[in-house]
Amino acid sequence: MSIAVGAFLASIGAGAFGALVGIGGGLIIVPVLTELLGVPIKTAIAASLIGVIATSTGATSRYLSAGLADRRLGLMLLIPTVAGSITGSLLNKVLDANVLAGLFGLLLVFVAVQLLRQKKPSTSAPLPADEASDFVSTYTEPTDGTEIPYRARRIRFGLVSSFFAGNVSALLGIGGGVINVPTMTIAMGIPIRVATTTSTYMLGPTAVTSALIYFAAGVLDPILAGPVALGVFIGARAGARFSTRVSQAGLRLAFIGVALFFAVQMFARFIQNVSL
Amino acid sequence: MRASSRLTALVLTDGSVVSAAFFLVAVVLELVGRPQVPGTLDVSGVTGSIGRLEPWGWATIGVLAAIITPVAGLIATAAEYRGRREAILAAGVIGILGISLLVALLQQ
Repeated sequence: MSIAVGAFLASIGAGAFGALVGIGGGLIIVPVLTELLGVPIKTAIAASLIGVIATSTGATSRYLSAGLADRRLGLMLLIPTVAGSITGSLLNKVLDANVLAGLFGLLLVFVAVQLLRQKKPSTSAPLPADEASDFVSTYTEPTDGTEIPYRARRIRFGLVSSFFAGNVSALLGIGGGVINVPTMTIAMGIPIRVATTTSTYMLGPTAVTSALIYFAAGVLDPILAGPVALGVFIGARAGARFSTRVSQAGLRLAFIGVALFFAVQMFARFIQNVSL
Repeated sequence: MRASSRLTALVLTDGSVVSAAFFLVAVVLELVGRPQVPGTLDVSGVTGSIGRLEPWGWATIGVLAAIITPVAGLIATAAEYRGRREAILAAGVIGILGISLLVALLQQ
Protein backbone atom coordinates (compact mmCIF):
# COMPACT_ATOMS: atom_id res chain seq x y z
CA MET A 1 0.00 0.00 0.00
CA SER A 2 1.44 3.38 -1.00
CA ILE A 3 1.67 6.33 1.38
CA ALA A 4 -1.05 8.15 -0.58
CA VAL A 5 -3.52 5.28 -0.18
CA GLY A 6 -2.56 4.89 3.48
CA ALA A 7 -3.01 8.64 3.98
CA PHE A 8 -6.43 8.48 2.30
CA LEU A 9 -7.66 5.70 4.57
CA ALA A 10 -6.13 7.27 7.69
CA SER A 11 -7.68 10.64 6.79
CA ILE A 12 -11.16 9.14 6.56
CA GLY A 13 -10.70 7.83 10.10
CA ALA A 14 -9.17 11.09 11.34
CA GLY A 15 -11.93 13.18 9.75
CA ALA A 16 -14.67 10.98 11.22
CA PHE A 17 -13.05 10.89 14.65
CA GLY A 18 -12.50 14.66 14.59
CA ALA A 19 -16.13 15.33 13.64
CA LEU A 20 -17.41 12.91 16.30
CA VAL A 21 -15.35 14.55 19.05
CA GLY A 22 -15.98 18.06 17.68
CA ILE A 23 -12.43 19.02 16.74
CA GLY A 24 -10.75 19.45 13.36
CA GLY A 25 -9.12 16.54 11.56
CA GLY A 26 -5.71 18.26 11.52
CA LEU A 27 -5.08 17.51 15.18
CA ILE A 28 -5.20 13.80 14.38
CA ILE A 29 -4.01 13.65 10.79
CA VAL A 30 -0.62 15.29 11.41
CA PRO A 31 0.47 12.78 14.10
CA VAL A 32 -0.99 9.88 12.09
CA LEU A 33 0.97 10.90 8.97
CA THR A 34 4.21 11.46 10.86
CA GLU A 35 4.14 8.72 13.50
CA LEU A 36 2.33 5.93 11.62
CA LEU A 37 3.19 6.59 7.96
CA GLY A 38 6.63 8.19 8.38
CA VAL A 39 5.80 11.40 6.50
CA PRO A 40 8.11 14.36 7.35
CA ILE A 41 6.27 16.66 9.75
CA LYS A 42 6.47 19.78 7.56
CA THR A 43 4.96 17.86 4.60
CA ALA A 44 2.26 16.45 6.90
CA ILE A 45 1.42 19.95 8.20
CA ALA A 46 1.09 21.33 4.65
CA ALA A 47 -1.11 18.40 3.56
CA SER A 48 -3.27 18.79 6.66
CA LEU A 49 -3.95 22.43 5.76
CA ILE A 50 -5.52 21.38 2.44
CA GLY A 51 -7.74 19.06 4.48
CA VAL A 52 -8.64 22.02 6.72
CA ILE A 53 -9.66 24.05 3.64
CA ALA A 54 -11.78 21.20 2.26
CA THR A 55 -13.55 20.68 5.59
CA SER A 56 -14.13 24.42 6.08
CA THR A 57 -15.54 25.16 2.62
CA GLY A 58 -17.77 22.08 2.69
CA ALA A 59 -19.29 22.93 6.08
CA THR A 60 -19.41 26.74 5.73
CA SER A 61 -21.85 26.71 2.83
CA ARG A 62 -24.32 24.78 5.02
CA TYR A 63 -23.75 27.08 8.02
CA LEU A 64 -24.24 30.21 5.90
CA SER A 65 -27.45 28.86 4.41
CA ALA A 66 -28.70 28.13 7.95
CA GLY A 67 -27.71 31.64 9.11
CA LEU A 68 -25.48 30.25 11.87
CA ALA A 69 -22.05 31.73 11.00
CA ASP A 70 -21.55 35.41 11.89
CA ARG A 71 -19.75 36.70 8.80
CA ARG A 72 -19.25 40.20 10.14
CA LEU A 73 -17.50 38.92 13.26
CA GLY A 74 -15.64 36.27 11.25
CA LEU A 75 -14.35 38.79 8.71
CA MET A 76 -13.15 41.14 11.43
CA LEU A 77 -11.29 38.35 13.24
CA LEU A 78 -9.95 37.01 9.93
CA ILE A 79 -7.78 40.08 9.37
CA PRO A 80 -5.41 39.35 12.30
CA THR A 81 -5.82 35.59 11.78
CA VAL A 82 -4.54 35.59 8.19
CA ALA A 83 -1.76 37.99 9.20
CA GLY A 84 -0.81 35.54 11.97
CA SER A 85 -0.91 32.73 9.46
CA ILE A 86 1.76 34.45 7.34
CA THR A 87 4.11 34.78 10.33
CA GLY A 88 3.34 31.19 11.37
CA SER A 89 4.28 29.89 7.91
CA LEU A 90 7.57 31.78 8.01
CA LEU A 91 8.25 30.47 11.52
CA ASN A 92 7.54 26.91 10.34
CA LYS A 93 10.19 27.35 7.68
CA VAL A 94 12.95 28.28 10.12
CA LEU A 95 12.04 25.91 12.95
CA ASP A 96 13.59 22.45 13.14
CA ALA A 97 11.20 19.55 12.40
CA ASN A 98 11.85 18.04 15.84
CA VAL A 99 10.96 21.31 17.55
CA LEU A 100 7.70 21.31 15.58
CA ALA A 101 7.07 17.76 16.81
CA GLY A 102 7.61 18.94 20.39
CA LEU A 103 5.25 21.89 19.88
CA PHE A 104 2.63 19.59 18.37
CA GLY A 105 2.97 17.31 21.39
CA LEU A 106 2.32 20.31 23.65
CA LEU A 107 -0.75 21.24 21.60
CA LEU A 108 -2.14 17.70 21.92
CA VAL A 109 -1.69 17.80 25.70
CA PHE A 110 -3.37 21.24 25.81
CA VAL A 111 -6.40 19.99 23.84
CA ALA A 112 -6.60 16.79 25.93
CA VAL A 113 -6.61 18.85 29.14
CA GLN A 114 -9.28 21.19 27.71
CA LEU A 115 -11.47 18.19 26.89
CA LEU A 116 -10.90 16.71 30.35
CA ARG A 117 -11.86 19.95 32.09
CA GLN A 118 -14.86 20.36 29.76
CA LYS A 119 -15.40 23.95 30.75
CA LYS A 120 -18.88 25.09 29.91
CA PRO A 121 -18.73 28.14 27.64
CA SER A 122 -20.39 31.24 28.98
CA THR A 123 -23.43 32.66 27.29
CA SER A 124 -23.55 36.28 26.27
CA ALA A 125 -24.03 38.32 29.43
CA PRO A 126 -25.23 41.94 29.58
CA LEU A 127 -22.37 44.32 28.96
CA PRO A 128 -21.09 47.09 31.18
CA ALA A 129 -21.25 50.47 29.45
CA ASP A 130 -17.52 50.73 28.85
CA GLU A 131 -17.44 47.37 27.06
CA ALA A 132 -20.37 48.00 24.77
CA SER A 133 -19.70 47.11 21.16
CA ASP A 134 -21.76 47.42 18.02
CA PHE A 135 -21.33 43.71 17.27
CA VAL A 136 -24.91 42.83 18.11
CA SER A 137 -26.68 40.04 16.28
CA THR A 138 -29.09 37.13 16.61
CA TYR A 139 -29.24 33.55 15.44
CA THR A 140 -31.97 30.94 15.34
CA GLU A 141 -31.15 27.85 17.40
CA PRO A 142 -31.81 24.91 15.04
CA THR A 143 -32.80 22.49 17.82
CA ASP A 144 -35.82 24.47 19.06
CA GLY A 145 -36.24 27.37 16.63
CA THR A 146 -35.78 30.13 19.24
CA GLU A 147 -34.11 33.37 18.23
CA ILE A 148 -31.13 34.09 20.49
CA PRO A 149 -29.59 37.58 20.67
CA TYR A 150 -25.91 38.04 21.49
CA ARG A 151 -23.30 40.77 21.59
CA ALA A 152 -19.57 40.39 21.07
CA ARG A 153 -17.41 41.88 23.83
CA ARG A 154 -13.65 42.22 24.40
CA ILE A 155 -13.10 42.78 20.69
CA ARG A 156 -9.45 43.80 21.13
CA PHE A 157 -8.69 40.60 23.03
CA GLY A 158 -10.40 38.64 20.24
CA LEU A 159 -8.24 40.33 17.62
CA VAL A 160 -4.99 39.55 19.48
CA SER A 161 -6.07 35.97 20.16
CA SER A 162 -7.00 35.52 16.49
CA PHE A 163 -3.50 36.55 15.42
CA PHE A 164 -2.14 33.85 17.74
CA ALA A 165 -4.66 31.30 16.36
CA GLY A 166 -3.54 32.04 12.79
CA ASN A 167 0.06 31.62 13.86
CA VAL A 168 -0.56 28.22 15.45
CA SER A 169 -2.72 27.08 12.53
CA ALA A 170 0.02 27.76 9.99
CA LEU A 171 2.82 26.53 12.23
CA LEU A 172 1.22 23.18 13.10
CA GLY A 173 -1.29 22.55 10.28
CA ILE A 174 -4.45 22.70 12.36
CA GLY A 175 -7.60 24.72 11.83
CA GLY A 176 -7.17 27.06 14.78
CA GLY A 177 -10.58 26.27 16.26
CA VAL A 178 -8.91 25.07 19.47
CA ILE A 179 -8.03 28.72 20.12
CA ASN A 180 -10.80 30.54 18.23
CA VAL A 181 -13.76 28.75 19.78
CA PRO A 182 -12.76 29.23 23.48
CA THR A 183 -11.82 32.85 22.71
CA MET A 184 -15.21 33.55 21.19
CA THR A 185 -17.28 31.67 23.77
CA ILE A 186 -15.44 32.37 27.02
CA ALA A 187 -13.82 35.76 26.38
CA MET A 188 -16.12 37.36 23.83
CA GLY A 189 -19.47 36.00 25.03
CA ILE A 190 -20.49 34.48 21.70
CA PRO A 191 -22.90 31.50 21.90
CA ILE A 192 -21.15 28.17 21.24
CA ARG A 193 -23.24 27.48 18.11
CA VAL A 194 -22.21 30.77 16.50
CA ALA A 195 -18.60 30.43 17.71
CA THR A 196 -18.04 26.98 16.17
CA THR A 197 -19.69 27.87 12.86
CA THR A 198 -17.92 31.25 12.62
CA SER A 199 -14.63 29.54 13.45
CA THR A 200 -15.25 27.01 10.65
CA TYR A 201 -15.99 29.93 8.29
CA MET A 202 -12.60 31.44 9.25
CA LEU A 203 -10.59 28.22 8.78
CA GLY A 204 -10.63 28.24 4.98
CA PRO A 205 -9.04 31.67 4.33
CA THR A 206 -6.64 31.10 7.26
CA ALA A 207 -5.37 27.81 5.83
CA VAL A 208 -5.18 29.27 2.30
CA THR A 209 -2.62 31.82 3.50
CA SER A 210 -0.16 29.21 4.74
CA ALA A 211 -1.00 26.66 2.01
CA LEU A 212 0.05 29.23 -0.61
CA ILE A 213 3.39 29.76 1.10
CA TYR A 214 4.03 26.00 1.59
CA PHE A 215 2.96 25.25 -2.00
CA ALA A 216 5.38 27.78 -3.45
CA ALA A 217 8.17 26.57 -1.15
CA GLY A 218 7.69 23.00 -2.42
CA VAL A 219 6.70 21.67 1.02
CA LEU A 220 3.12 20.92 -0.02
CA ASP A 221 3.03 17.59 -1.88
CA PRO A 222 -0.22 17.33 -3.93
CA ILE A 223 0.14 13.52 -4.13
CA LEU A 224 -0.26 13.45 -0.34
CA ALA A 225 -2.51 16.50 0.11
CA GLY A 226 -5.16 15.24 -2.36
CA PRO A 227 -5.91 11.96 -0.57
CA VAL A 228 -5.71 13.70 2.83
CA ALA A 229 -8.22 16.41 1.80
CA LEU A 230 -10.60 13.91 0.23
CA GLY A 231 -10.30 11.49 3.14
CA VAL A 232 -10.84 14.15 5.83
CA PHE A 233 -13.78 15.58 3.85
CA ILE A 234 -15.48 12.17 3.51
CA GLY A 235 -14.68 11.19 7.10
CA ALA A 236 -15.94 14.48 8.56
CA ARG A 237 -19.27 14.17 6.74
CA ALA A 238 -19.70 10.57 7.90
CA GLY A 239 -18.67 11.48 11.46
CA ALA A 240 -21.09 14.41 11.63
CA ARG A 241 -23.92 12.11 10.48
CA PHE A 242 -23.26 9.58 13.24
CA SER A 243 -22.30 12.03 15.99
CA THR A 244 -25.71 11.88 17.67
CA ARG A 245 -25.73 8.06 17.78
CA VAL A 246 -22.54 7.45 19.71
CA SER A 247 -21.51 8.20 23.28
CA GLN A 248 -19.80 11.60 23.33
CA ALA A 249 -18.20 10.92 26.73
CA GLY A 250 -16.65 7.66 25.50
CA LEU A 251 -15.40 9.31 22.33
CA ARG A 252 -13.89 12.17 24.27
CA LEU A 253 -12.02 9.76 26.49
CA ALA A 254 -10.86 7.81 23.43
CA PHE A 255 -9.60 11.04 21.87
CA ILE A 256 -7.76 12.00 25.05
CA GLY A 257 -6.07 8.58 25.00
CA VAL A 258 -5.08 8.90 21.34
CA ALA A 259 -3.90 12.51 21.79
CA LEU A 260 -1.72 11.60 24.78
CA PHE A 261 -0.30 8.56 22.93
CA PHE A 262 0.79 10.75 20.01
CA ALA A 263 1.98 13.49 22.37
CA VAL A 264 4.35 11.00 24.04
CA GLN A 265 5.64 9.87 20.61
CA MET A 266 6.26 13.45 19.54
CA PHE A 267 7.91 14.46 22.81
CA ALA A 268 10.14 11.37 22.54
CA ARG A 269 11.22 12.42 19.07
CA PHE A 270 11.89 15.95 20.30
CA ILE A 271 13.97 14.75 23.26
CA GLN A 272 15.95 12.22 21.19
CA ASN A 273 16.84 14.63 18.41
CA VAL A 274 17.13 18.06 19.93
CA SER A 275 20.09 18.91 22.10
CA LEU A 276 19.21 21.83 24.30
CA MET B 1 -29.67 43.73 8.48
CA ARG B 2 -27.99 40.57 7.17
CA ALA B 3 -27.07 40.35 3.51
CA SER B 4 -27.98 37.28 1.51
CA SER B 5 -25.33 34.56 1.72
CA ARG B 6 -26.64 32.61 -1.26
CA LEU B 7 -23.81 33.55 -3.64
CA THR B 8 -21.06 32.78 -1.07
CA ALA B 9 -22.68 29.44 -0.18
CA LEU B 10 -22.98 28.56 -3.87
CA VAL B 11 -19.34 29.46 -4.59
CA LEU B 12 -18.10 27.42 -1.60
CA THR B 13 -20.26 24.41 -2.46
CA ASP B 14 -19.22 24.41 -6.12
CA GLY B 15 -15.56 24.89 -5.22
CA SER B 16 -15.67 22.01 -2.72
CA VAL B 17 -17.29 19.70 -5.26
CA VAL B 18 -14.81 20.63 -8.01
CA SER B 19 -11.72 20.20 -5.81
CA ALA B 20 -13.10 16.95 -4.33
CA ALA B 21 -13.72 15.65 -7.88
CA PHE B 22 -10.11 16.40 -8.89
CA PHE B 23 -8.83 14.70 -5.72
CA LEU B 24 -11.06 11.70 -6.37
CA VAL B 25 -9.63 11.29 -9.87
CA ALA B 26 -6.11 11.52 -8.39
CA VAL B 27 -6.87 8.86 -5.78
CA VAL B 28 -8.45 6.54 -8.37
CA LEU B 29 -5.44 6.97 -10.69
CA GLU B 30 -3.21 6.21 -7.72
CA LEU B 31 -5.22 3.08 -6.89
CA VAL B 32 -5.03 1.77 -10.49
CA GLY B 33 -1.26 2.19 -10.36
CA ARG B 34 -0.65 5.18 -12.63
CA PRO B 35 2.91 6.50 -12.24
CA GLN B 36 3.51 9.06 -9.48
CA VAL B 37 5.75 11.44 -11.37
CA PRO B 38 6.00 14.87 -9.74
CA GLY B 39 5.91 17.45 -12.53
CA THR B 40 7.05 21.04 -12.63
CA LEU B 41 4.72 23.57 -11.04
CA ASP B 42 3.82 25.56 -14.14
CA VAL B 43 0.92 25.54 -16.61
CA SER B 44 2.52 23.15 -19.12
CA GLY B 45 3.80 20.85 -16.36
CA VAL B 46 0.38 20.54 -14.71
CA THR B 47 -1.68 20.27 -17.93
CA GLY B 48 0.79 17.72 -19.35
CA SER B 49 0.50 15.59 -16.22
CA ILE B 50 -3.31 15.82 -16.34
CA GLY B 51 -3.29 14.77 -20.01
CA ARG B 52 -1.07 11.77 -19.22
CA LEU B 53 -3.54 10.78 -16.47
CA GLU B 54 -0.94 11.05 -13.72
CA PRO B 55 -2.14 11.45 -10.11
CA TRP B 56 0.23 14.41 -9.55
CA GLY B 57 -1.43 16.64 -12.16
CA TRP B 58 -4.96 15.88 -10.94
CA ALA B 59 -4.00 16.33 -7.29
CA THR B 60 -2.23 19.61 -8.12
CA ILE B 61 -5.27 21.04 -9.91
CA GLY B 62 -7.35 19.87 -6.92
CA VAL B 63 -5.04 21.73 -4.52
CA LEU B 64 -5.30 24.86 -6.66
CA ALA B 65 -9.11 24.57 -6.74
CA ALA B 66 -9.15 24.08 -2.95
CA ILE B 67 -6.96 27.18 -2.44
CA ILE B 68 -9.00 29.35 -4.82
CA THR B 69 -12.39 28.40 -3.30
CA PRO B 70 -12.21 30.37 0.00
CA VAL B 71 -10.79 33.37 -1.88
CA ALA B 72 -13.70 33.20 -4.33
CA GLY B 73 -16.00 32.94 -1.29
CA LEU B 74 -14.54 36.17 0.12
CA ILE B 75 -15.04 37.92 -3.23
CA ALA B 76 -18.66 36.71 -3.26
CA THR B 77 -19.10 37.99 0.31
CA ALA B 78 -17.71 41.40 -0.67
CA ALA B 79 -20.19 41.50 -3.55
CA GLU B 80 -23.12 40.52 -1.31
CA TYR B 81 -22.25 43.25 1.22
CA ARG B 82 -21.44 45.86 -1.45
CA GLY B 83 -21.17 49.35 0.06
CA ARG B 84 -21.18 48.11 3.67
CA ARG B 85 -18.50 47.65 6.32
CA GLU B 86 -18.35 43.88 5.76
CA ALA B 87 -17.33 44.43 2.14
CA ILE B 88 -14.36 46.52 3.33
CA LEU B 89 -13.42 43.80 5.84
CA ALA B 90 -13.62 41.12 3.11
CA ALA B 91 -11.46 43.30 0.85
CA GLY B 92 -8.97 43.67 3.71
CA VAL B 93 -8.73 39.89 4.15
CA ILE B 94 -8.26 39.45 0.39
CA GLY B 95 -5.53 42.11 0.55
CA ILE B 96 -3.64 40.20 3.27
CA LEU B 97 -4.06 37.00 1.23
CA GLY B 98 -2.44 38.96 -1.61
CA ILE B 99 0.50 39.67 0.70
CA SER B 100 0.81 35.95 1.46
CA LEU B 101 0.87 35.27 -2.30
CA LEU B 102 3.65 37.81 -2.62
CA VAL B 103 5.56 36.15 0.24
CA ALA B 104 5.01 32.77 -1.46
CA LEU B 105 6.33 34.03 -4.80
CA LEU B 106 9.36 35.64 -3.16
CA GLN B 107 10.22 32.30 -1.58
CA GLN B 108 10.23 30.43 -4.89
